[in-house]
Amino acid sequence: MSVTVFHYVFLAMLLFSIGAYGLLSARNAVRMLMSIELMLNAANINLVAFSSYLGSLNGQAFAAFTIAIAAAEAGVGLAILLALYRNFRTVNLREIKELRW
Amino acid sequence: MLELLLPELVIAIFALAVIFIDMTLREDDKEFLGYLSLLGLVVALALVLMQAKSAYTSQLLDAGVLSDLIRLDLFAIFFKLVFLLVALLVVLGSLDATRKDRYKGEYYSLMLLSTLGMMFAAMAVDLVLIFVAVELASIATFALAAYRKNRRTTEAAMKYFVIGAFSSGLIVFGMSLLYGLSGSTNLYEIATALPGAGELYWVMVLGVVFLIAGFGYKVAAVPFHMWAPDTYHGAASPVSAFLAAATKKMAFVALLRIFVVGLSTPALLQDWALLFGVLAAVTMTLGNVVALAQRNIKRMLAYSSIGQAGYVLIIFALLASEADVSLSVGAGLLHILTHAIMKGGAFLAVAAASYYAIGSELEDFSNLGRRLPLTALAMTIFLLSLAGIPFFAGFVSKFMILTASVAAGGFYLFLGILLVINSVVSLYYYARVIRYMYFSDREVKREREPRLLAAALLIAAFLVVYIGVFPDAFVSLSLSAASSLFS
Repeated sequence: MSVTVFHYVFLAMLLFSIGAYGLLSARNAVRMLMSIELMLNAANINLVAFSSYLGSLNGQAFAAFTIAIAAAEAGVGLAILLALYRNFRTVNLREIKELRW
Repeated sequence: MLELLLPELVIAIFALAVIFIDMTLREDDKEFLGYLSLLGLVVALALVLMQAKSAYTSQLLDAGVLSDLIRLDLFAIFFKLVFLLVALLVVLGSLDATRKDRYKGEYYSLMLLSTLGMMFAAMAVDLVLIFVAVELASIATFALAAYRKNRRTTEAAMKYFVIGAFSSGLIVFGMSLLYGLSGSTNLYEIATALPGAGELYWVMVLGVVFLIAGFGYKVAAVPFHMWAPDTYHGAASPVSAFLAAATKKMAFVALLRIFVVGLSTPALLQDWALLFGVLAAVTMTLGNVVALAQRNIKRMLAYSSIGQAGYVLIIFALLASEADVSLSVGAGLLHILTHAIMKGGAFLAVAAASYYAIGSELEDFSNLGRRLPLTALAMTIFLLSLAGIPFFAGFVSKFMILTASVAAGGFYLFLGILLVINSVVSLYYYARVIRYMYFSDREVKREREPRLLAAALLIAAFLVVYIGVFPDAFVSLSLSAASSLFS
């Protein structure tokens, strides 16, 4: 059995689902950040697989941009996380209830 | 070619200048940075107005080698005007509202960078550029939401960040599926290359659903709205003004570009239009009904902003009908413009109140008409306009959406009727604020309004009344902006 583009898409969807599940079920904000990374990288697998399947470079360029944006997003997210920890002394989002959810 | 990107270049240079000059200034002198950003925004606004003038005659400004990535039509210019206007009002108000805060350089620089992202999102016709621009605008606002770094703002920012990052995951995944199906990231090429109703149809629908969900979070449409009340409530009021009036509108411009240009193949159009119709109905009803129960003005404004996003979503449903597409989209554009001014203004009025440590609970606004007469007057104008009272801007744009849905007839008429019912419901919670401001017998002392905030409020209130009384120019501008999207 050879590996086709559908296998890559299947893998990407699996990773994306794991990320989405992790994001929705996690209490710890650090784990949420990890889940977000997983979702963005699932899209990268898709983009690179399609790019090699179609023989066009657009997808790889897109993936490079996504990686850079994911890094920026993680940077800002961790900064917010630190500020949150300084205020609440916890990163468990279930315990942080200053505002009504 | 480069002179067409001059407004963006100006904003980028000023954003970098602000953050670098910030390092050389003492804390007391940093107010200068606000005036510097204001100058940058005024220059960019003047340049975009010049572009608007030439775009009116030639419809499309040639973007040269960049024309695969950006399209400088009247539609893009219309949105750039909206974003710059909101940024201008918010920065003007922030000069007073953040006077006692630290980190002014970061604040103004992030606001300019976010505006830059929005301006690019307005012009982009390529999935990569749309994604990068939307993220530039969003990531800057994640940090802005945490401004002041107290318990409330950090919690608001964390919720906003988690939801924002989740939605970008959804968006980029949906975009990757579209790229795989069409082999291109340019929206015009996607439109021609997408397969019809075949065996790959469900993958296509999956991509569309991911995009709708991702942008649904950004516009706070109803199943995806939970973050908005908390974030608008927790963030500093000028930042809330910016989020509700500008960031949300950027999601609409990206949605319009992607769905109207890229995904309006006959096989898909009916399906996503129906989905948007359902979203619109649920969004406006739930937003307005929940707003009735809110005792906090910022939360009330957040829910009203959810409801108003529902009104704009109606026009996506109308695209599948027989109604004139430029009328439908033009109605949506006008409502985006008027809502940006009145909602931005309303949050700035809350900022003006909090300048004197007046909270944002309803009771805190008791007798505000005596205490801060100008702020209360401007707030009244914004609230009446949000409710859709004639001779205010909100009435004109709501009426236009209603006209478009009547022209479509059938099921779409139902959306129009729902819009009217919701407007009537919303009058109750808007009027309640006005009642607290003018008809309450709490003893208060007259205070002097902060001058620049008052100026921002006056400009916004003037625009709301002016569009309401002389709507012709604005209606025709939004109609020609809409038709340039289709040409």
